[in-house]
Amino acid sequence: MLIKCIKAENMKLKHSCIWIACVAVPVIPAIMGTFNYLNNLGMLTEGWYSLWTQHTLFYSWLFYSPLIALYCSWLWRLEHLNHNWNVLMTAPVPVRDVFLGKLAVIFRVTLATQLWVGVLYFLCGKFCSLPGMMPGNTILWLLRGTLAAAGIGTLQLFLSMMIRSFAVPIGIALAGSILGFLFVSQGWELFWPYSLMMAGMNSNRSDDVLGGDILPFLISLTVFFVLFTAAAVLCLKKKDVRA
Amino acid sequence: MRTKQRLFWAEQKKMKRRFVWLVPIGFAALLMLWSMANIRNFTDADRAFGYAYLFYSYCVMNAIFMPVMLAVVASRLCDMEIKGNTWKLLYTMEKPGSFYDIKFFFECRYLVCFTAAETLGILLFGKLFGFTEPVQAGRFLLHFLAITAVGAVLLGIQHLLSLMSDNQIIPLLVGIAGGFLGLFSMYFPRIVNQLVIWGYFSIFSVAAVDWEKTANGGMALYYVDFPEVQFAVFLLAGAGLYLAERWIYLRKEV
Repeated sequence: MLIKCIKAENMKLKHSCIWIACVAVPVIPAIMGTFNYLNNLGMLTEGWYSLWTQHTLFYSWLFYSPLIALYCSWLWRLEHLNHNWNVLMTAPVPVRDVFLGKLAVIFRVTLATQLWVGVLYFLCGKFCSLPGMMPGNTILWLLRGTLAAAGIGTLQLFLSMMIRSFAVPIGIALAGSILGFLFVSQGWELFWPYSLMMAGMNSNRSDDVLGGDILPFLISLTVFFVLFTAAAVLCLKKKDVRA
Repeated sequence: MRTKQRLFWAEQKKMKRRFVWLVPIGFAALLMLWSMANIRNFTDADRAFGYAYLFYSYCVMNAIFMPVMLAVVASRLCDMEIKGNTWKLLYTMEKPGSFYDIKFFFECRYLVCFTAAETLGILLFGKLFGFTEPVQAGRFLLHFLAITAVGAVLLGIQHLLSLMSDNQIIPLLVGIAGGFLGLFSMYFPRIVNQLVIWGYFSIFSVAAVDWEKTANGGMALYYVDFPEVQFAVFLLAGAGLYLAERWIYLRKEV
């Protein structure tokens, strides 16, 4: 059933504007981060790692969560319009699979976004004449950032499901990201879903913020994932729809 | 006059239980929280430039907050017409131009609420945390006028996009991208900064940072002469842009 739900959700994505967001938004930090890097070569002396901070600092801190929120809002908007809630809830599939199907699609789009960020980082590195390949660490950090999307994606999918407005969950994501910086500055990044991206992508320093120990990060992700999925499925089961 | 009043009350009634006020209030609260986290560690030397610090840091924060906040406000107000497909019914009772203006006026109320809260917040923090820098009323007024004017121009863009797009992903995408561009453009030379409309918060900032002196110690802030001529040109260009947006909207088929 879950596979069928994922296929159905994938069909909804065809020819959608979501791909414009996925491609266009990462281009902005790539271009501007690269020129900022080239303008400050005197201070930014760590090559690929310095370029990494310029590309991902603002992206992971402020704009990654609203971008995921945008994907989630778009996916639920289809159900909020034209009485589609009635169709969705009468479909012969468990509500758990409906939610997880949407989550799988969000994860797929986020993975595509992160891959695009990686490609842009590599191309910009070559444009800046940086030697060799991009460091292996940065690939790991990209992967960790993608995993962090599982926590945020679940929360945002839950919010977009509950809030019928398209825009409000995106505003919440931005507010959450800004609060996330306060959590990171206190060293509490694993206790706030919106700061997991910054920790995962290691965007503000060249040495690993998680100290190479990924287990607490994964535990935190799992807790948020289970918590928000359970809340969403419970709401879908117990709450009457407003079609 | 009575028609304008009726339009106003019609929009007012649509706002019932929409909780749109929560958006500017929430963002203003977040801004205050952010400031408090920084100000509580101020030394006596920092307090001597406390207001300048807040004027500058709020310009950076506005570049991050405002594009998305304004996109949310505009989308929240315009989306009700798109979801309800109310155009045909609306235009039998209201002129499209008047409808466009009154909607924009309502969105501006939330903008002014936010910018006023921000400006008063600076004053309040100064008193609460004992800033030793003297209060210069003119600077506060210029800060308020500048951020409101830049916000209104951005709101005009979001307003048009929200009314024109059946799918609200485009206006929100522009809001997110605008925040990104505005923030990055601040770290570029002024000529590049001037090409990005979302970056005008820093161009009209009453305070700035001397990065050369900052590199050698604490943050070196100074007040800049407000570019009155450039601001007047910006206001005129903003008004022209609004009229162009209105013209585009009036050609939309319902």
